[in-house]
Amino acid sequence: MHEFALAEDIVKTIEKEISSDFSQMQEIELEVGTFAGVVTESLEFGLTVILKDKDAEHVKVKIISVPAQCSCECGHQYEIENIFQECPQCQSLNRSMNSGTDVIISSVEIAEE
Amino acid sequence: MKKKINISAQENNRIKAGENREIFKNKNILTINIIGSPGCGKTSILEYMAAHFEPKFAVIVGDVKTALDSDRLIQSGFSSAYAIETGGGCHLTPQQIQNKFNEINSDGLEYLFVENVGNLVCPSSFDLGEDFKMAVLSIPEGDEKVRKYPSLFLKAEVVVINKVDLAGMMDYDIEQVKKDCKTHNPNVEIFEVSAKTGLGFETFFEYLKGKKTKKS
Repeated sequence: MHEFALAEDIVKTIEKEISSDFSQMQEIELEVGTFAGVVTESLEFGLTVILKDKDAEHVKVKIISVPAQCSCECGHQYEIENIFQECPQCQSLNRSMNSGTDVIISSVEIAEE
Repeated sequence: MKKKINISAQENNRIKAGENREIFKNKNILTINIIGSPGCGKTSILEYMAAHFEPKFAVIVGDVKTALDSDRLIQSGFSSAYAIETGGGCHLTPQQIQNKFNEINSDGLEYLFVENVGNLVCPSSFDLGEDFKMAVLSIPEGDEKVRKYPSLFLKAEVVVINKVDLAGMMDYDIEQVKKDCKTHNPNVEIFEVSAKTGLGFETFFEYLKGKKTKKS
């Protein structure tokens, strides 16, 4: 449900970050964490609608899924697919998440003049 | 030509939330973002606090429609309740909080409680500039909420389990819920309360006061 608001934020951020407008842009690349709480299809749909409104429907949206990386209290680093996956080394659940909880605008592809 | 950006998709939200954090810091206000499903007792907890929590605080309540919750608080004799009607939005934004906060007389205010829109998903993704997120669970809604909605419980620093006066009447495995909360966030603080009977609030109030002292 909040993906549309996120899509609006993404477009606003890109507008601020790049000096050119969307006419020269070819692709937006996003990294979406598997624990970011985001439905990628809805995010993509939201972006399509906003880009269309800016006459930039030609811009492709590429979404890369980023797995969640954890650091266990024992020092071991491991990837999880679900939150109840224990550390394979020590079976602990006491850990911190290093990645996989964010949505990052990684890059944009702009046509060469 | 590929232009690297590597910036959070929530950059605008982060900037606005940062502004709020600065405002609250300068005014020495501890801000708590309360998130829970509809009917878990977020307003009831605040109602109990309105009558029993001595420090000066204000409440901003977000709902999709109506100002029923803030009206309820005002009618109970608590005047510092303010409503944000999102008109369809499933979460509050830092801009909405800033706009509303500017309307409030914040002189001498020590705490600001933001009751987010009743929803366990979307509000957890938006930083409002709070000091911490507080998730509210309740016995009648079942003991699987933590497992079903991980994004909130990964971020909530505090979990309040409300309606514990009903614990004996329902199949609710409170120990499992606490364990699940710890799995999501090993440092989480968990409080068991009943907004109806007042059970557990003393410990919760002490915790809040401790957090306030640490911030000051």
